[in-house]
Amino acid sequence: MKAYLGIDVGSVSTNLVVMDEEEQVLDSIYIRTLGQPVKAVQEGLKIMGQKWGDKTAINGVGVTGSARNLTAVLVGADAVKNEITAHAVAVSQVVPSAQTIIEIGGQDSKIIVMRDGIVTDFAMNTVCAAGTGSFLDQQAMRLNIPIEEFGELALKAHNPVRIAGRCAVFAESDMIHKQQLGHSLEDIIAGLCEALVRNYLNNVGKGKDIMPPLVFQGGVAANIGIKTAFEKALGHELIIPKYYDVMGALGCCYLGKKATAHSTTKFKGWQAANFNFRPTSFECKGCPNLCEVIEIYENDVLIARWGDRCGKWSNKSIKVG
Amino acid sequence: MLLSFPHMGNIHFPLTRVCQVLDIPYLLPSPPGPKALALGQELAPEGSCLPFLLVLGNMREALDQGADTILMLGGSGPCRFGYFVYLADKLLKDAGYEFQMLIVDKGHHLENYTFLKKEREIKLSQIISAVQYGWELLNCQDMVERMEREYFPAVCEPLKFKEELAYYRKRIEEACSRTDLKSLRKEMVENLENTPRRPVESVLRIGLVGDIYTMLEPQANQHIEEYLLSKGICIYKDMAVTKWIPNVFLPWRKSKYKRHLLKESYPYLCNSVGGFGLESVASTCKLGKNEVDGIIQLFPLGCMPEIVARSALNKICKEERLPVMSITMDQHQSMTGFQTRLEAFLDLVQNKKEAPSAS
Repeated sequence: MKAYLGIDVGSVSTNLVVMDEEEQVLDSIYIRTLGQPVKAVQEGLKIMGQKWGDKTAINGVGVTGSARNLTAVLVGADAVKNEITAHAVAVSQVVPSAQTIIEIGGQDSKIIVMRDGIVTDFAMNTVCAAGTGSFLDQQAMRLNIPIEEFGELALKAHNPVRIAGRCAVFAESDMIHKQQLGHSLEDIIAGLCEALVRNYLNNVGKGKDIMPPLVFQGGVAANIGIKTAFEKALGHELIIPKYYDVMGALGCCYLGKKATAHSTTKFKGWQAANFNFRPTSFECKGCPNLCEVIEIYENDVLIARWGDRCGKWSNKSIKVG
Repeated sequence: MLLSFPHMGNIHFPLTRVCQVLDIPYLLPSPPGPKALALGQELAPEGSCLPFLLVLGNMREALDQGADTILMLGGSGPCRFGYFVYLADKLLKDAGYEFQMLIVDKGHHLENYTFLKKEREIKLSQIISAVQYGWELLNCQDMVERMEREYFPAVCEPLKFKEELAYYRKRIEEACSRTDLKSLRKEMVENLENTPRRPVESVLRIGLVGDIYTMLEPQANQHIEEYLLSKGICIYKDMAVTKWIPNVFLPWRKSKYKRHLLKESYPYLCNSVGGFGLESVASTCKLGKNEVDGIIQLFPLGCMPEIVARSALNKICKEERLPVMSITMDQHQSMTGFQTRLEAFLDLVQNKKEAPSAS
C-alpha cells in the first residue's frame, strides 16, 4: 500500500503521521522531543516502522517544525516547509470551512487567518514565550499536577484569580503570591488559563480578523481549561480537529504527497532509525561573523553542514569521509 | 589623533576614503557581530535596543585598540529622545575611556571644523571637497545595491549581471575623483537599466521598511536581503543613507522632506513620531500603491517609533489589502524562527498573487 509520512519536530513534541493514498490517516504518534530531536525522530521512525514497515511503502515525506532542516537530512525529505504553511494545509483539508486557526504549541503560538482555504494573514509570537505550552508544562510540574489533568481542574474553579499574563516569569511570581495568600489551586489554574488566553489575544491575535469557524489545535488544545477560556473570551465555539496535536505532521503528509507527484521519494527508509547520527559543531573563525557551523555525521560519514553565512562550509562537498 | 567610527551597512567605505583624502589616520572596528554585541552589552543600560548595543560595542572596540576620536553620523536626532550619541559618549567616558566625540549633526559643524583644524590643520575647502567626494561615493554605492536588489532576481542572465555588478563595484572602489564617480554612475545606470529582464509581474516583490540601522546593517536584520535574493525575490527599500544625510547637513531641506513624507503617509500617520516611524509609514504607502506584493517591517525590540508605525501599518494592511508582516529583531543568533516567519509570509504573498480574488 502506498503511504505518505509527515514529521513535525517541535520544541516540545515530535509528531509522526502516516497517511494512505486516499488521504486517510493510518496512524499518528506524539513523542516528547526532550531536547534531543535526533533521538526523538529515530524513536518515532522505529515505532512507526515496526507497525507499518511491512504493510506500506512510503512514497513521500514532508517535514516541518523548528528542527525541519535537521530532520530533512536525517530521513531524506521531499518537502521541507515552515509550520504555518504546514498547519494551514492540514486545516484546509480537514476543516475546509475554517476561517481562523489558533495554534498553540510548545514554544510558539500562532494565529492563521484563512479565507477560502488560502492563508491571508498570520502572526506568530516573536520575542516572548508567555502563554505557550512550555509555560503550562512548567507550571503543572511546579504544582505537581499531571499536565493532562490541568484543564479539568480549571473547570472546577469558582472565582478564577487574575494573573499577569504578559511575562511568563512574572506570571509565575503572581501565581505564587496568590497561592501564598490562600487562593485555591483550581482558581489559580483557571486564572492562569484566562491570563494565557488574554495574552494570546492581545499579543498574537491583536488586530486580526478572528472569524468563525475557529479551529483550535496544537498540543495545548488538549487543555479543556484553555479551550473554555477562549470560548468565553471570543464568544464562539472552537473546533478541535481529531488529530489536533499532530496537525503539522498531517499537513506534511499532504505536502509530501504533492512534492512527489512527479518524482520519486528521497526517503531513506525506516532503517534510518538505526543509523548512527552524530551532530557536532564548531565556531568558524574565518571572519568576524563567528558563525556556529553544525556538522551532521551519518555512520561516521559527513552528510550535511550548515550554520555558516557565507556558504564556505555548507557548499563543501558533503561526500568527504 | 586616531579617528574611528561605528559601522552601519556600507557607510564605512566612503568614510575611510574621506579620511584618506584628508590624511586623517583612522581605525576601522570589526564589523558588528557577537564581539561588538558583547562589548556593548557590558556597558549599555538594560533594555537598550540592538543598534545601540552594536554601535556602542564598535566604539568600545575601537577605543580599546587605541582610537582617541570617534566620529558619529547623526545620533542626536529624534531616536532615543535625541540622546543616542550622548548616552554612548557618557557611558564610555564613565567606563574610563578618554576620547573626543565628533558628532556630525546640526549644531556641531563649527565645533567639528575647529577641532579638525586644530588637530590636523585641515582647511575648510579641503573638507568640503572631501565630503563631496565621499557623498558621490555613497551615492554610487547606494545605486549599485539598489540595482542589485531591484533587478537581480528578474534578470534573464543572472551570472552576467553579477559579473557586471562586481565590475562596477570594483570601479567605484578604484575611482578617485568626484567627476570620475559621476560619469561612472551615469554609465552604470544606463548600462544596468537596459539589462534584459523578465516582466516585473512574474517576480515576487517585497518592500522593506523599518528603522535605519536595522535596514542598512545586515547583522541587525539577519541578512534578510541575501535570503530574499536567494529565493528570487525583488526587494524594494527606500531607506538609504543618501536620503537621510542631506537632512543632517542641510537643515533647510528638512521641512520640505517632512512635508513630503506627511503627504505620502496621509491619512495613516499625520505627524512625526520620532525615529523613522514616519518614514516607515510613508514608504509602506508609497511602495504599496503599485510596486510591491507585500511589506516586511523590521525593527529592534523596544523601538517606540516603529511600534507606533506598526499600528498604522496594520491599518494599511487591512484597508489597502496589502500583506504586511512586522518582525521584532533582537539578539537571536539562530535564523530558524526568523526564516519560518519569512517563509510563511512569502507563501502567503505568493498564494495571494496567484489567486487575487481570494483575499
